[in-house]
Amino acid sequence: MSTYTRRDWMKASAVALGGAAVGRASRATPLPVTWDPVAAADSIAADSVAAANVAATTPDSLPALAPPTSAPGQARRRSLATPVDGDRPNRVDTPNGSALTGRQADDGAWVYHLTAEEVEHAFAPGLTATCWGYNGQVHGPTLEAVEGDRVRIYVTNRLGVATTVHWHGVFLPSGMDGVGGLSQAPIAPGETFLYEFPITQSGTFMYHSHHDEMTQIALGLTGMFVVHPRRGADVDRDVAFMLHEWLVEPGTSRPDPNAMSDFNVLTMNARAFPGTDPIVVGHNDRVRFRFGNLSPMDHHPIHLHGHYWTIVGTDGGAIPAAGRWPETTVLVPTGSTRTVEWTADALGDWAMHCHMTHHVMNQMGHGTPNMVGVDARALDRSVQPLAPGYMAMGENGMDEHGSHVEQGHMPVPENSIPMVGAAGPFGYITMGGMYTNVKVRPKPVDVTADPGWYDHPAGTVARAVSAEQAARDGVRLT
Amino acid sequence: MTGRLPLLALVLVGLSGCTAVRPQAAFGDVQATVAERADLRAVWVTGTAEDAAARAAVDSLLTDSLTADVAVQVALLNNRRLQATYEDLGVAQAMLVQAGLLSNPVFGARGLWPAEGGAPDLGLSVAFDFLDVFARPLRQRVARSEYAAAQARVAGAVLDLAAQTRTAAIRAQADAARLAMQVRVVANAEAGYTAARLLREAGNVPAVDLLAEQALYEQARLDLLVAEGAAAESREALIRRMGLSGPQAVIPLRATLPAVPAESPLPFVRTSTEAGVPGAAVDAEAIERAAVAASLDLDARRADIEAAARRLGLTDVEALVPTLHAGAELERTDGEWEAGPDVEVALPLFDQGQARRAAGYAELRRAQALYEADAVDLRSTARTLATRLATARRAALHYQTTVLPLRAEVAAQTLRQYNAMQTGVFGVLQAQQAEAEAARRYFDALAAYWVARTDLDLLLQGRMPSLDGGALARANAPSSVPPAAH
Repeated sequence: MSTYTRRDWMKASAVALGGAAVGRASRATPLPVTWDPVAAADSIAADSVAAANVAATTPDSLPALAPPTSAPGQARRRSLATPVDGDRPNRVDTPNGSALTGRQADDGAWVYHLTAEEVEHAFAPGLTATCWGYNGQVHGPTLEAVEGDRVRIYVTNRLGVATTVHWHGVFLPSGMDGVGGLSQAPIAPGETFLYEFPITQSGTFMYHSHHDEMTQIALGLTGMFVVHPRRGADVDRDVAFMLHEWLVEPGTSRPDPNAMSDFNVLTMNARAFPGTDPIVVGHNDRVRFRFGNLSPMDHHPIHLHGHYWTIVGTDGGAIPAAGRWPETTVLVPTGSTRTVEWTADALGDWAMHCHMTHHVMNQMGHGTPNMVGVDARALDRSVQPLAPGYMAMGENGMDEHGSHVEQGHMPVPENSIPMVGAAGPFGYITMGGMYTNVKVRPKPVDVTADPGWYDHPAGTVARAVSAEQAARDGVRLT
Repeated sequence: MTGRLPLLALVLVGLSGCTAVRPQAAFGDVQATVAERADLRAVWVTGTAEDAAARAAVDSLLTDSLTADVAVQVALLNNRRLQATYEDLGVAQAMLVQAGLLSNPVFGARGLWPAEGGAPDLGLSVAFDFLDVFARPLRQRVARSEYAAAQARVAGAVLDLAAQTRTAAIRAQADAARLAMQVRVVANAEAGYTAARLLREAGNVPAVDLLAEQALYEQARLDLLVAEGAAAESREALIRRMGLSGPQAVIPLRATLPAVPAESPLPFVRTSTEAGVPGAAVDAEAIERAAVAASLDLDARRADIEAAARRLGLTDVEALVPTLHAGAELERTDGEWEAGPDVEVALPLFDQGQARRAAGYAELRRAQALYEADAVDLRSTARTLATRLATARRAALHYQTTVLPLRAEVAAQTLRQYNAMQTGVFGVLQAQQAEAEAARRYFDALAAYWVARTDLDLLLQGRMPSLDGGALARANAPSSVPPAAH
């Protein structure tokens, strides 16, 4: 079965807990309007000690992914905080990811270190693959910098092949652009290259390999690059998502970079639902979502329920106010970023997902016959004696698949996850892949922990009705 | 000379009274031979009280599910053709007795009546082929050699029938198993057809997909017909060997062949793991030696040579010693009896025995040549069977230990792929089909192994197998694509 065990999840949760403390601490300190990096670094250092103490006394046996229950009070709270490495407090939350905020050198430049290497990465419980990433994770940490910084980024290559890093959308000297063969010599295995340039803009950017792109991007060598304006925080929650797609055939453990159209693992920050952490937002918070898309082949229309947002920027910069318009779906083209801002003015659990229906599926095969409307029982009767354990599926869609697999009476290949879903408060959530839950909760709210499922006020949940009830409104149910 | 007659009669009685016709004793030797070589019990049904016991034994053997061993035992008790062969022993034994008998004396009487009347001239004579007395031991030795050859041939016939029955049983079992597999294949094709029909009814596949599945199903049904025919035929072949008819012919055949034993009981065949494949290493030279030493065919040929040589010796004696008729004559002439010996000698003037001698030499040379030819065939057969057994054993074990588990695992993994929605119902059925096909081929390999084992056993029991078991192995090998005609 999967090489990703429950124990691994526990370890991951322990790491996340350490990060949670940092995140909580950093959030507890309101960001100054004019951000002084040195002062901020000092305050963070003190908080880090406290955070380390918290982490040391917290048992690491807390289940990371206990199945959610409909009773929010009983839900185990799971850390959602972004682990951070660097001297500065991070300001962007990268769900299921981490951030690199830089360490200041004596000459004032901010220093980062990325190491490209092979990584065992878990897309979701039960699905692990050997990918390529930076600093031990997929995707690489979100680099955070501030407009006006001079950044000095060391890139060490621990892959078996040469690589480069391209700073997508960032204005820099041509020789720092990271295109192998064009701008620079490829970084040979074992070598460390230095990229250094001033940051003259702010916005949402990305970084990714620009050498043997088809292989290296497909295997995960990407990350978000967020540049904050010199002026301080103007939103309450700032969240970054890197969108990606992969082909991991059930029973295999390495993404296939040759895939052109049959991707079966669609991810946000390299996680497929039910592996994606929910996004927790305080009621009436101003929220910024930054979407980057380095999927090899597909654009993703990301749709948020219950709210509208305004598209405020791309990797080309901010959109002038006159050019912005409201949307509930933002199309994020391949090789682009889209930044949206919205007000979380509706309490509840809200779905956010790619609206391409095959992108909210996990590891679905693309060559199976269409079983919709087929008499499953007749088929079972004729096939089951020949293939014990066979069960007709898809008679009325795919929704039953995940629960069948979860109940264990439909064994699947090693290292594979059901096509859809996870248990929700009202039954099975029949989506997977590029899907997450946005949870808007009354303030004060701890945005670094899963608050459990929303407790709906009485009378605000859709329900079954009797014929008599319907008849009162003139709806005849025959 | 009167007193000579009783003396002569005494001598004649003494010479003639030494042997009686007792073929059952000869059958005892045959029984001992087959028991020793093949651990089989042969019974000669000769119309005695023992026959009922043999019939009862057949009935009780037929109540259990039929293995090859049981089939062989029934055949030995019940095959009329084999019983007919036993009569050869009676014939040979009778010939042996015959060889010990002297030819009967010739009694002659004559009377001459003078035409003018008066006392008749009466003559009485008794004469016998005197040379018989000398040739008798030679003739007996010839007959004894022929008798030994007959014994060897009858024992050989028993062993042959046992092997043929065993082979027939193996084929019948293999065909029954293949038939069972084909039933599975038909069920599989039917499920595929059903799936296509249901998909078609739901409007999800075009007509061509349904027709293709139907075509596969109908072909599978035809193949089933062929398999049924083959199973019925091989079953009848077995029934013939077992000599069954009527209600007895409904034999409870066990459908499965025993698996190839991991350790070979044959001393010349050792298991080996060469190149990671479990199989057998066969000592062909040792098998050759053992086959030659055990060969009843060669024994019979040797007896033929001896018989030819002895017959030649007899010819020499007969040719060299002129035919001598000796006897006594009693004659009454003129009212007086006169007695005196009477000798007749054939003068070797024209027939000096040269033609018979030449024929005898030719027979001897022929017997020698046939002996050598048999020996050459025997050694080649031994090597052929050694190779065949090693190959068949390796193939069957490969199916047993590798291919079948592999196919089962493929089917299991395909079901998992199906569960993960990576393949559809047709993929599942295809994997099951491949598993059934592998099982069918396994039964072929298993039958080839057991037939090779039976052939080699027969060879080591002293009989030359027919070697047509190889056709079985070849018939089921994957056929190569014939070269395109130009």
